[in-house]
Amino acid sequence: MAYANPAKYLKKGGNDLLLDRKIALVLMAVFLLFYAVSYMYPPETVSFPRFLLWIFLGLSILLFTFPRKHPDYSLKIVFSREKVVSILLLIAYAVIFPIIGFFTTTFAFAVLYMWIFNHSGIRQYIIVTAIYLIVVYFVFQKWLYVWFPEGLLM
Amino acid sequence: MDINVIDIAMRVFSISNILLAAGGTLMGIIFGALPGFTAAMGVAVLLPITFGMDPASGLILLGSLFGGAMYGGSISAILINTPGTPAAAATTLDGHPMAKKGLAGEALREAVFASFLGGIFGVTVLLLFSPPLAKISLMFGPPEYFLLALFGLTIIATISERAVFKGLIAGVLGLLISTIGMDPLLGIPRFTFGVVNLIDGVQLVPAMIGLFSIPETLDLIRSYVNKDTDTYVMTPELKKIKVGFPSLKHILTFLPIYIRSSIIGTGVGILPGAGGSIASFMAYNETKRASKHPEKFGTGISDGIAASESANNAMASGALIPMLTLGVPGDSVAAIMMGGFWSMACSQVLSYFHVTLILCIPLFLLSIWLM
Repeated sequence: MAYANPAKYLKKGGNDLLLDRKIALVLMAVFLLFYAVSYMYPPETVSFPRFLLWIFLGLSILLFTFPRKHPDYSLKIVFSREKVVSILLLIAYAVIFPIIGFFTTTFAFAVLYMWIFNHSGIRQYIIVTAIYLIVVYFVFQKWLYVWFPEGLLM
Repeated sequence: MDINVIDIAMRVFSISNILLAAGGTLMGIIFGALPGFTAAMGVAVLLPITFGMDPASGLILLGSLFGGAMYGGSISAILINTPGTPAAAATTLDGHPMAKKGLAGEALREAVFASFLGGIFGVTVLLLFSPPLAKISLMFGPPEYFLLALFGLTIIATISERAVFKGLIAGVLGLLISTIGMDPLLGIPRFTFGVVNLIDGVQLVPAMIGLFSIPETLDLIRSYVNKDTDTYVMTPELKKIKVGFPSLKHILTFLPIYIRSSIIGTGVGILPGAGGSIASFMAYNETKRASKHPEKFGTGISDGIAASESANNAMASGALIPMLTLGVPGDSVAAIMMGGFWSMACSQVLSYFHVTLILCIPLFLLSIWLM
């Protein structure tokens, strides 16, 4: 296992941080968030989570101090347009489907998702998604009585 | 108990029961392969259907569904890097890398055969050693379960040996996430951020699907953006998948893995509360420790799949041991099945079930190969 020389990388600016260091910073932010929130609860309820949080912080500091230097590790986190769109679509789907309903939202998002990443053949996407959802609806909801979230529509 | 084996065999080996076993196995595979639909859900859904059936037929349907779902989880684990059931989580470690190398057929074959052997082993133990093993499971108290949990955490070190800090951080993060929800001692909601749905905590199945499938989605997008072909290498290979029967040499080489993992799976299965995911990760860990080439684990080798799949199928039978002998279910699926047993002819359950499972496992294998 090859670890980078910390002194060498600490001299560099933020943009040159190793990927492990960026992850460690995010983890420290998670620690701060959870630790701040823990004051909202009685101390006896959060004593174990706080104990875990201190271990978590210790390990994050170790990760920051001894980042792993590996040829496969990229020095930058690449945010492509497609990745951002994809993450936003996933979040939107999770938020919207309990409101609108599973089947309508899944149909809209599945077709949209496939169309965004492959601009041709929208009719094919509509047909495939519709057949899939009709099968799921009849097999699970009508035959096996496994209910999917229903909102304003279905 | 006076068991008339011939009478039981005559009733179990009818055409309708064989068809039920095949159908139950197929449904189990579908439930297992679909991330989000677990074996427990499949058994719960089919339970009302069995109320109107002969007890033997009902048990055949539920038993075959349980076995099928345990295998089915590996299909999505291997092909799309998202385990269909929590028990198949360890299968992704080597299964999906094999699929990426274009060896999806070989990975699926290993999963089928390991599941088959694990199932056979578990059923044999269920038939021959149920009463003494059930007594051992009763000897497990809080200190033993604490040690088991601690042992589970030590597995992190093996799985993440190439990034130990990150492995430990992931383990602690997992423990932290498990504190979200109602405090079990004081009944006060913790870290729910005002979201009512979080009061019950973060459930394993949605967490597992999210953690496995979202990175896979992003990875596929990265490949699409970079026009990589490595991610799609399995696509043309899928057309050539031939599951088939492994060679005798392969079976003999892997026999210690199958036996060791099946023993671990059965052992974990008889402990109430310990599920298939613990069994498969423990078996994976032990196989890696015993291997002559531990560094290859996680890069896509059959050993990892053999360990994980034989353990989780052996666990399925193991979970039924305390349920059939003591009325204490070994896992959630066994608990739901037990509810069904009370609605059937309870006096006939034990004798029928032994023969039922023997019937289910070969059919389970046969139906997979026919697919």
